[in-house]
Parts: sequence; structure tokens; C-alpha cells
Amino acid sequence: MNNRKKIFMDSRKHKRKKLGIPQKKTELEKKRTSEEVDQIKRELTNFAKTSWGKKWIKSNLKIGRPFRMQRGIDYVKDERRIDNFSITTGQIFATVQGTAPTPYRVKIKFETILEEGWELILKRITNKIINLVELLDGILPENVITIFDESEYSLFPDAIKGLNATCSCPDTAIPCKHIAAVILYLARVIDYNPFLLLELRGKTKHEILNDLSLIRSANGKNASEEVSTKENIDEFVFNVPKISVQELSEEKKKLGINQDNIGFNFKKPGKIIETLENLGIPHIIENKAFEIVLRAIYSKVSSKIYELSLELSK
Amino acid sequence: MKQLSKLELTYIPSKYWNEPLSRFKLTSEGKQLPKNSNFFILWIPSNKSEEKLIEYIKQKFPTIPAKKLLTCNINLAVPFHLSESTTNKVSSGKFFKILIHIGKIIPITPAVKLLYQLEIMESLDRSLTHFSNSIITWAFLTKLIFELLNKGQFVPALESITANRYIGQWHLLLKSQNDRYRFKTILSTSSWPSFCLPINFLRENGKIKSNGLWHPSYIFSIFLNNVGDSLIRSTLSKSKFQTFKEFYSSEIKKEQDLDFKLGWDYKFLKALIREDPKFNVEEFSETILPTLIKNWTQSAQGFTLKHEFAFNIELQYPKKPEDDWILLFYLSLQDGAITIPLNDLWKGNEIKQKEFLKLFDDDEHFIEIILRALSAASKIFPPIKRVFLEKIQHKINLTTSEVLDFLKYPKDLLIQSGYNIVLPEVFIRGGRQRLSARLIIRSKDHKEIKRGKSSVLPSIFNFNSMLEYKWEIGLEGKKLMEEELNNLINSKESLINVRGKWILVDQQDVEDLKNIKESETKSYMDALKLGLTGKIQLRENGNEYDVLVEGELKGIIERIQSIDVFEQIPCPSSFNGKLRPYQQTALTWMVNMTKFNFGLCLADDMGLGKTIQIIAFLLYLKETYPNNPGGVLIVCPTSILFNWHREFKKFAPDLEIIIHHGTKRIKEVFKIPEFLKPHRIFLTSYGTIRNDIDFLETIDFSGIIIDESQNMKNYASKQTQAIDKLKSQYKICLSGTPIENRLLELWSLFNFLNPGLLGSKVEFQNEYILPIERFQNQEVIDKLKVITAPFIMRRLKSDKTIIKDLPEKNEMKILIELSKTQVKLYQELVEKTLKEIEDESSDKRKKRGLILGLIVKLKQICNHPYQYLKIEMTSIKDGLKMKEIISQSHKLERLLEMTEEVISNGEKALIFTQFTQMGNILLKILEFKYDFKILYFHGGIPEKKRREIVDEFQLDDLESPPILILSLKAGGTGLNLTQGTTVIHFDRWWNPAVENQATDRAYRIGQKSAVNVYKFITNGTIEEKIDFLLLEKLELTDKIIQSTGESWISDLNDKKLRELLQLTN
Repeated sequence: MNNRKKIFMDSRKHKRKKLGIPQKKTELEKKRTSEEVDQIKRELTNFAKTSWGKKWIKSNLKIGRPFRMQRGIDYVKDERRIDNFSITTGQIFATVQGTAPTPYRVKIKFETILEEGWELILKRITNKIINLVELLDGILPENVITIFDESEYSLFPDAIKGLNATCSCPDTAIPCKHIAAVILYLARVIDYNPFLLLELRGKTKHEILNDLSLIRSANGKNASEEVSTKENIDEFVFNVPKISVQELSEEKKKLGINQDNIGFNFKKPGKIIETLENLGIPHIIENKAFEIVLRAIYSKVSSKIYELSLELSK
Repeated sequence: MKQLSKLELTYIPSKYWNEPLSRFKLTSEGKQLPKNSNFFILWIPSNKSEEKLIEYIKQKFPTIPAKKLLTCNINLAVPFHLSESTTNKVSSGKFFKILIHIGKIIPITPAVKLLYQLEIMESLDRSLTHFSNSIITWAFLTKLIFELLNKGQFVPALESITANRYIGQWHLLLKSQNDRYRFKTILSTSSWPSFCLPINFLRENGKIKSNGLWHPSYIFSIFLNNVGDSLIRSTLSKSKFQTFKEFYSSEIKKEQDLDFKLGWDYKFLKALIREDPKFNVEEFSETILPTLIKNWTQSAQGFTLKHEFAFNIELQYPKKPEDDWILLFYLSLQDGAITIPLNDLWKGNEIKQKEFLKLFDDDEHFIEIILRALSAASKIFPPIKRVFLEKIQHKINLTTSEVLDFLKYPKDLLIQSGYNIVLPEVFIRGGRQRLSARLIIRSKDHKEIKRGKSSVLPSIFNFNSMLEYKWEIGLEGKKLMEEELNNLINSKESLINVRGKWILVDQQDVEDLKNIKESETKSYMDALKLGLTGKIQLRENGNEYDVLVEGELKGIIERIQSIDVFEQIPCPSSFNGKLRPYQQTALTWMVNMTKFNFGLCLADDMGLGKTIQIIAFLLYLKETYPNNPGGVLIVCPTSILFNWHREFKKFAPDLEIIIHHGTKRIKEVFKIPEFLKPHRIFLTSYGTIRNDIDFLETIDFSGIIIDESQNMKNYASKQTQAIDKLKSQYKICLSGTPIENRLLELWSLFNFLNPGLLGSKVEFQNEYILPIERFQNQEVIDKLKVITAPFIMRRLKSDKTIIKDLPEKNEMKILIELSKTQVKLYQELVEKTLKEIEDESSDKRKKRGLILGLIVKLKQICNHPYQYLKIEMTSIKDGLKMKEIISQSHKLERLLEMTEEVISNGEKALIFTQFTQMGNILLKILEFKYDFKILYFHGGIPEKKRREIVDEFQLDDLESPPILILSLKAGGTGLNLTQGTTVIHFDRWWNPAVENQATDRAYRIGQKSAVNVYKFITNGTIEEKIDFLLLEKLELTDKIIQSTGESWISDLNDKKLRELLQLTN
């Protein structure tokens, strides 16, 4: 990692200054370039599926150049390249396989929100519980985005503050394609789990839910995990739930439980299968075929099994 | 006590057998199992012989090709007491021993099929196949899987294998309380052999042991998911599931063109439908998929299941008609003792909150569950969203049209997903305010059955034409006029406000009721069935409507449903004996039920006196209805024809008894009037009925009584079909077997007694037999009980109310006729010997020797001609041969009828004989007849083996052999055989003390039940005569008892001797 470098994209001005390459273009070139740029921007934005995913990419496009970002897209689409992706409060880490044999290490840091800040934000979020319900369902409500924006801690990077990212590659270009790949990758990740955007700002889903509950710490939880018996060379232990011999003999003592009163019941399936109704279809799936096939599976299985239950065997 | 080793079934997950320490090894040559396969093994604890295993499998599952199954060796954990005859109990308390066992492998698919079809109804009948707890446990679980699949209780999931490799798997959902209860019950009633995989391997003195087993709930749930998953896949592939191919044709094409940019939804579905469940994460954005899918399916999982609280949604009636409806949300602990409104979870009563929180690991988990529950509920019924649009609410307002929507489907969906829905009384099914419909059955002619004196039994045969059916639609308990009803049907709204009250009109009700044909007539038996259950369904899975019976039929139904309301019937004055209280009850029941011309079944345990109850009943009818036309036909096995005759003579000398059997029976048509004489009783055999049916079916009997009616169990047999043709005013079947457990037999019986009551055979099979025998469906069991109970009376000798009326030792003599062969042999032998005696009259010693020899030989003839003729019994292989052997001795025939009853009641019998050779014949015959082991205790058995026989018989287990044959000399003293409750003396020993000694093997301290003792006596033979002498002449009795054997007989003079020896009838 001798080529470690740090980029700090404060503003376009800063960048231009750092790069120090004045650009001159003809009107036609300018026009063509701008069309091309729009095209690339569109392509990049559409890489994400949800409105917030797209917004994440757009915000980053305001910082880094579309051409550079575009170089990341080939990387992110190649399954073997990105690994060890992890999100902790205030930081994304991933390794990206570049041209060198050793993968490059990419880190993107986010400014975490202080406790007082969170308190205000959460208060506003929970004024509408639907915000939470939707978050749990994998949706980032507009309202939540607004709340963060108004609290001066936007969920998305803004052009003024820039992005605090580092990569161990020798490329001096900004953002390098590895960072770009991670940025794009995150877009897809938050498509499915927008809670992660909040986590980058300092609070995990669990912490948020915990803070919301005004009834915390009512039960002193003491996870008294059973101390596992010491490893013995002669001993092999299956890593599955265990019932001890003592428990077994105690189980036996439980009387009054009788198999006689349990029975089974088969019904001709109706049009509506509850499980499926409860399930619904995740909003992220755009293909209508998914729902049609899923419905067909449920009705086929339940009716075939019903027919089987009527079959007499002699 | 030594345990009986049984055939056990254990599920072996791949994770176990792939671990080298399991020492799994296929011993079948040249075969290999795929690494990821799970399977069942059949095995026997502490067994090392493959032959024994095959033999056991063949016995329990005749359909399994036991020899062809792959054989394996595998380590299994067994309790110490089973492993060896070790006395080292020091360490046994905490450990299981791990031992290599031989197992036969059954792959999942055939095993599941087998288990699914296994009948699970518990039965005490020892002649049926009984399965070990482990087999039953897996059968229960398999059936549970099928039910969950039928109800659509499964969700898709992705399970991780390595970082980016997953497999698609269907997970089964246990949603409702009942699901959970059943799983728990199966879990807690299962015994160790169903899950005896060691958790660890500890070495101690060269042996291995384990301090625990794989947790059964873990093994059972992986079984549920694995089998559920493979059933879904195989169902889809077998039924040519096209939808997937049609709707994803473009993706399928892409894949064929080796384009790897496939939609994950396609890949996911493919991993769930196709045989190969692989799902590789190829795009990085897909790494989030497992979480996404988990979150997605969570809402379907019925959240209350995992937690001990209920999520309540309560609909409240508007206070004023113009107000909105209210939907309330609150949590409650299962018993409903503590409730907490939803908004109070965020602020409010802290003590209550703490109660709830105890149920959770942490707060945030709790909040998440509540929010997800709300979210899931709002997807089912969108107005629920209003609860959480702003701050959390505990109630929302609903408009009438929203209420309407709510009640249509969402209400049921919510209930099925685990929410507790509370509705105002208006909407509760069957509530008075709901639109109700009922079928009214009334007798057109309200003629009551005459209570007054009549000299003939009432006949209600033409009841059919007197019944009238009418539907009545009601509202708030009031009948709706036709016009009002039409208005209701035509209004499109299903929730309507009538005079300030909300009425819910169930659309299915309306559909059903629109099409009711009022004029549809049903048979009397149909009406009776409807009346008894009180419910009618107009279509499969449709709503149930009440049935109201009016008029005479109502009276009948009310009376037959409760014996207590019957008029008490006194014991007839001419009855020569005394009825016990429970026999009196049966008399009351039979007389009253007969007035309605119903067919009845008196199914008391053997030994409770069914015969004398019938005799008292017939006497009562004679006294009460002296002029009732038509004789009474009693059909019984030939073996007890004479016993019936003797009992009639003894208890009812006034009744005229005709034995309609043999060559002297009436066969001529012109003599038919003989059959019509009131209260004349015809005793006949099953065989005679079969032969004479064309003749007998033309006669109108007043009554038909079928003894040992289990002979009619086969509906298709000629014998049963002949009996079904007989006509009479009333019919009574007598049986000592538990008829309610053998459903096809029950149907066959009712087809004779009350034809039509249980529907056609096919209907009965689909409606009752299948759901009950295979699935133990409680609703169906209850329904069948309600319909049949009024017509069956069954008392057990162990019933508390019965036992107090019973002597602890109940001795009965069974009079049996000799077969033709026996008569011939008997007469020839007596004549020949008497002649020899007359010739030798001078030599007293020689005479005496001749007489004693004769008596022994006569006894042998009475037992069985084979015994006398010393025909060697080898194993019988041929059913015809067996029939022939049985037909030569009615004693033998009777014995087999009795063992059948004893066994089907789950009891055990001791059979004593003084002849080893007879013991051998009995052994061979019983071995041919039954699949289980027959025990035989005789003088030739070595001491050590004797102990084993006694232990095996004394074992309190359904698989312990229920029949023990004993030679009177070897087994008559000393043994403790209290598991036996029936003692049969196949032949007589003239010294009662010796017989009593033998009887006391069963009747002694430790005996918990009454003991029935039967002594077989052949009619007209020396057996009967000496029995008579024993009773009549006490002075002789002493002499007989003092003398050893039969030496006293030789002191009789020639005349008396001839009387004693010659066959009379």
C-alpha cells in the first residue's frame, strides 16, 4: 500500500485547481460533450432502481465527473472485483480488484451526526410512524430525506462538502474507478436496504429503534450463555441444538400430553391463499411475471396436495 | 423389566452421516449415496442381525421390499439400559451409549408416501399392526407437512452455503395456535428413537458415549422444511408447471444463449422451482437479496406465533347509526388478563409495558415486531395505515363501506395470519342478529306414538312420506317474509341498516339460499342424520346452517340422544333370574329404541351377559305385545347355538325356542306361517342363513338378532349380503368388539341396522374413513359419534359403573355341540368299549382300566378328532386345510371367536388344556391365524425359558403376545399371569380345586380388572354329564374330588355307566 493517496473533493474549484488543466472546447464539441455527458449521467443514474438509489448517484455525480464515474460501472458489474464490502457507522470499506494482483482498499468516510442532532431528527421522523414502517419495509420515504436535509445533515453527499474517500491505487484521477465502483455499488445496496444510509450517518437500525422506544431497559437482559464444555481431543461436538440426557428424562415426565387429540384437516383450497396475501410482492421487483408465477405456485401446490389427500390407497 | 425391541424409524440428515465419527457405511455393495442426501433408516435397538431386521420390516410394512433396501451401519445413541446387559449404572444417568447399528435405508420420497398413508388412529386391537412411537412421530410430522402445503403455509427463502453461494428453499410456516400446539405435542410425545443422533462423541474406556442428542425440535424442523421443499418441487414438476416457462420465456432464452445478465427474480424463482436449488450471487447488488427476502417473507410468518401475546384488532359498533365505526388496536397477554392499547406502548402504564417486554430479548426487537405487524396488517386492509401515518394511534374510524370491505376478506386473512379479531356480536357467525337460515323438518302428521296399551309393537316404516322440508330465513330470530327476503337478496350492499340495526348479509348465504329447492325430499335416515347433527351444509366447505326438527321426529331425536329420558323398563316377571343394574339399563334402552324401529348394536364386553339381556328383552316384548306378529330370528355361530338354547331354557322357560339348523329345519314354503307365530324364537346359524336366504327373505320377522355380529364386517361377503336381505321390524346386533374403531365394519353394520344413515360406502369412505383413520380429524370424529352414538351401547368391564355390579371372578360355562365327525367317533368308541366291558365284567381291574382309558379318549374326541386320532400337526400353510380342521371341532371354533374378541379389546387370554397334544394343535392353529407370537407353556419347556414366557406375557405393551396356552399340569400352579383377564378351560378336570388353582394364575393380587372364566363343555357328552353330576350330587362331588382322576366312575353299575357314557341330545 505504498501508493496510498487521499483525495478530498471539496468543490469543483478546488478540483480544477488541483488538476490545473484548463479546458477549451469548441461550441460543437461543447454541445456534443454535454449530450454525451447527459447520456452517461442517465446511464449511471439508472444503475440504481429506487428513487433514493438514483439520488445517491446523482449527488455523487455533482462531485465527481461523469466520465470518471462511468469507468467504475464496468468494475461494479464484474462479480469478482468487489469484496469485503462493509458498512460501519460513518464508513464504507471495500476491496476492489484492479489491474494489480492485490485488490485496492477503498474507504469512504461520512460525517456522523452528533447525539443531539439525532435526537431532533428522530423526533421528527417519529412524528410520522409511517416513516419507520416504510423504512422497515425497505423504502426510504421522501419525508425522511427532507428531515435530514433540513437538519443540515443530508443523507446524500453534497457538492459543497464533497466526499471523503481514499483508495490505495496508484491512479491519481478522481474519483478513481475503484472509488466510483464502490459508490455505484452502494447505490444498489441501499436500493434494498435504505437503513444503511442512516447507518452511515451514525446510527444502526437497531439503535434507532431502540432510541424510539420510550420504554427501554425494562428488562435487565443477562445473556447467560452456556459456557461450552472445553474442547477435548477425544470429543467431537455437532454444531446443532442439543437436548441433554437429563432434559430428555425430564421431558418424559411431562404427562397429560396426548397424541389422540391432534388431527389433520384438508380443505379444498379457495381462491385466496392467506400466506400469499400477507406476503405481497416486494416493491423492488418490477417484473409482473414474478407475482404471476408465485401465485401459480401457491395455487398449484395447495390444490395438488388436496387431491392427493383424497386419494385412497389400497 | 426387559424392554421389547421394536422396529424404529430415524431421520438421518446428511450433516450427520457425512461426519466420519458417525461411522456410517453402506454395506450393500457397489452403491453410493449423494453427499447431500437425507434419508430415513429402519432399525432395531441392540440388534446386529440383518435377517431379524428384514423380518421385522416385512411384518410391519408388507409393502416395503425389505431385502432390496440398501443396508448400512451407523452409530446411534441408545440409553444404557438398552445397550447391553450392563449393571454399571454409575454413569448411565447423564449419558447415552453410542453403538453401531444395522439400518435399512428408505429414501425420503417413498418414506414420506408411506408415512402419509399410515393410519394413526390409536387402537388397542392387538391383531392390528402397531407401530413404535418413532414411526408414529414421523407419520404425524409428515401429515403436518401435507396439511401446511394444502393451506399454502410456505414461504420462499434463500439459505447461505458460502459467501456468494445460496440455495433456494421453501420454508413451512406454523402459523395458527393449532399448528403450534400440534407441533409441540408431537415434540413432547416423541421418544428418543426418533431423534437418537449423538451430539458429541466422548471416549470412555474404549467405548463412546454422548451426553446429549440432537434436539428433536431442530431435527423435526429441518425435516419439515426439507420435505416440504422437495414436495413443492416434485408437485410442480409432476404437474407440468407451465406458468414459469411462459412468463419467463425471454429469460430462459437469455440463459440458453449464455447471457449471464439474468434478472434475479428469474434466478430466484428458478432456484425454487427446479430440482437444482443453486442460487449464485453474481452481481454484487444481489448480496443484499437474502436479507431482502427475509424481510419480505417475515410479514407472512404470523408474528404472534413466536411470542406469547396477542395482537388484537377490534371492530366497534357505531354508537349512533350516523356515526363512524371504530377499529381498535391493542395487545394482550394470551389469557387476555392484561391488555395494553397500542399507543400506550410508547407512553403509559409502565408495569404493563414491563410485562410485555419480558417476552422479548430487547426493546428494539419488540418495536420492530409491532411495526412490522402493523405494516403487514395494513397491506391486508389498507385503512389500517392511518394508525401510523402520524403518531401511533390506538384506533381509527371506518366508514360503513370500509367496514364492508373489512368484513369481506381482510377479516379472515388477518385472523389466519395470527391477529386476534374481535367483532361486535352482530357479525359473529350464528349470532342472533346475523341473517340466519335454517332447515325445518317436520312430520306432516303429528300423530304421537301411542303411549297407551297396544298389543303390537308400533311400526313407523312409512315415516318417509310423512316428512316435510322447509327453509326459513330469519333475522334477529324473526322469520323473514318472502318479500323481505327478496329485497335482501336483491340489494347489492351486504351490510345493511334495518330499523337502526346493522345486519351483515353473507354473500355466500345469499348465493346458497337463492338456490334452495324447498321441495327437495330426503329419506327418513337423511332426516334423522340432519336432526342428530343439527347442521346442514349446502356445498363442500360451505356455510353450515342450523337444522330444526319439529313434530314427532323431534321427539324421537330428543329421546334417543339421552337414555335418561327413557321410560324405565322393569325386568319381565317371567324372567328366571336377576338382571344386574347395567343390564337393566340396556333393557330399557333396547325396548325404547325398538319402539322407533331402529336397528341397535349392543356391544358390551365379553362376559357382561349380552345373551341374558336379549333374553330379558324378548320376554318383555312377549309380555307387553302378546299379539305382535312375526317370530324372532337369532343368528349366531354354530359353535354357540346350543349355548343360546341352554340359556333360553334356563332364563326364559316360557319362550318357545326352535333350533332352525341342520336337516330337520323348515324348508317348505307352505310352512312359512310357522315363522309368523308371535314370539316364537328361531335359533339359526350364519351358514343356514346363507343357504336359506331365498326362502327366509320372504318372511316378515318381528325381530332379527345377530350374535357375534363382527361376522358381518365384510360387507361384500355372501353371508353379510344374505343377512342384509332379512326383513324385520327391529334389528339388534351383538358384538364384543369395539366396533367404533373399525370404520368400514361400522359402516357394514349400520348398512344392516339402519341402512342409509351413514350414506353409501363410497360416500362414507371419503367423508369419514379417510379423514379419521389417516388424519384423525377431530371434527369428523365428533360428527360420526353424534350420528352413531344413539344406536350403540357399549360398556366395558373396566368401566367404573359396571365394575361395581360385576363379580371379580365371573365364571361361565359354554355349552358346545359336537361336530358330525366327533359324534361318529364318540358313538363308535362308546359302543365298542361298552361291549368289551360287558365281556370283561368279571375282571374288575380290567374293567376299570378299560373305563379309564375310554374316558380319556372321549375327552380327546370332545376336544378335537385330530387329538384322538393322533394326527400329527405340522405347520399349516393352507387356509382351506385350516378351515377344515376348525370345522371338525366347535370347541376350537368357539375358542377362535373368543380370542378374536379378547385381542380386539386389547386384552390377554390364558388357555388351559390338560393335554399336551391339544396344546400343540391350538398352537399351530393360532400361529396360522395370527401374525404375532403365540406363547405355549408346557412341561417340556426348560426352566430358563419358562421365566421368559411369563415375562413376555406380563409385559404391559401392545406388542406383547396376548395369548398364552398352558398345560394344566405345568402351568396350573405358581405362576403370576395377571395380565390375562380371560381364562379359558378348553377341557375339564373334574376336580374344581385344580381348575380354580389354574384360574388363579390370573385372578390374584395384582389383577386390576374383573376376570372372565370360561369352561368349555360339549353338549350331551361325558363332559356335560359329569358337570351336571358335580352340581346336583354333592355327596358324589366329595367323592369325585377325593379320588384322583376319574376312578370313581368305574365303581358305577352298568346301567349308570351306560347313561354316563352314551351320547345324548
